[in-house]
Amino acid sequence: MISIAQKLRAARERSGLTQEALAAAAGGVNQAQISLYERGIVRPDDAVAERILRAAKPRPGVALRRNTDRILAIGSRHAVTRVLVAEAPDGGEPVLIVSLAPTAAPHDLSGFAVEVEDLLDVPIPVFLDEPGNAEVRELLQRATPLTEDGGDGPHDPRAAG
Amino acid sequence: MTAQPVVLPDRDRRPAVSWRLLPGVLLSLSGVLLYGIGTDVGGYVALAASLITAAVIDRRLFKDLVLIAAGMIIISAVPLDSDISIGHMAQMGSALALAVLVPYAVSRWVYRDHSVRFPVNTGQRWSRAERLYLVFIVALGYAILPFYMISTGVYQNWPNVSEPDAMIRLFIGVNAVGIWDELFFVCTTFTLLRRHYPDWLANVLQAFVFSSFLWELGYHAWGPLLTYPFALLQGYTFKRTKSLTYVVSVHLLFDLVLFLVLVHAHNRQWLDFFVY
Repeated sequence: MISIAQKLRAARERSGLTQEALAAAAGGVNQAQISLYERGIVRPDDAVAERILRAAKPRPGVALRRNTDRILAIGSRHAVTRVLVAEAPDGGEPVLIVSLAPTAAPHDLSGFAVEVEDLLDVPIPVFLDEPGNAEVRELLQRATPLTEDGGDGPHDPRAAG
Repeated sequence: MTAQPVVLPDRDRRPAVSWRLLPGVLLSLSGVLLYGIGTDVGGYVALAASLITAAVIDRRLFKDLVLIAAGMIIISAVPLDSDISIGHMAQMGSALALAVLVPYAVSRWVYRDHSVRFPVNTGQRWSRAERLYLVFIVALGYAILPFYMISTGVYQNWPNVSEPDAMIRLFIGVNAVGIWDELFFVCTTFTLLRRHYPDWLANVLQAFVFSSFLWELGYHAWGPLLTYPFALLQGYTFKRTKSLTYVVSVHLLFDLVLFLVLVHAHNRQWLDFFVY
């Protein structure tokens, strides 16, 4: 059984936040208390623990950058030939635009989306790169390839089709 | 024909190391797993193993361990913490009461050996040493508890009490658990284990369960270095005095200091006479 202390520490480490930053994000607790909770010395009550875990949830953009190689590995299992990242139309969290190999099965797109969401623990919209889709065309204007080196390289519009 | 003197077996001359030790060790281990580490599955497996090995090794040991196990399972069914909301106090209070009543009732009315007793009125006056020990316990609590509670931060495992109503509930809760500790760990667990093991070994085994329970209650960090010897002392004191009243008095005096430390730790300007 994972203790609440282990859970809090793991969540913070996944988020990449320091104890101080997490305390500030969660509100109502300070760095010393986060430290006591993570070491299992003090047991936070349920409401406090939930608040900290919520604050420790990584932003989708951060989660994407941290898991690039795993996302590409998921893609390779689902006949995904290319993954692009673009900011959502409202300028908010990122979305993924994927290209599928001609041999892809009908469920590959949804399978990829589900696995990525499970991995990141945050919902990330996944679009299929369809030239006929106006929304996708608009997203492609500011899309960049997701690459293992952190991939913020410029998007080649020709490759996007 | 002259009457032969009856020679009672000397408990402390029983061999400590034998197969009979296994069920007792497994029982203690289950306490550590259930309350100390918080792995319910591991705890129940160890408890089951304790009962199975006892059933194979010694039927009477099995019957007594069943009583202790029943209490431990009842306790494990509720969250053990220092929440002083009325609902939680009622839930935890009911479980703790059952954990004592079930072994007592089975021992008295099912087994009919009445091995679990709560000797309140022993008819013995407390000796001078016993009265001095009560003073010593208060001094010990004063010396250790503020340092332990405040330097580690574990006082935060107890609710922040600054209102009279919450203070009264914390006071009642701390004292009720203190009395219950003696009813279950000393008068039930220790007493039943003593029927099968040397006194010192029974005390060592019960102290693991006792201090694990206190860990779950909030005595984290280096708490076991404090609670384990305390549990041993309580067992030893009960063996010496044979008085529930006396060990409860010791415990409640220690808990009184604990209560005052908790109030001070949460409200540093109050009761500002502790050194830490």
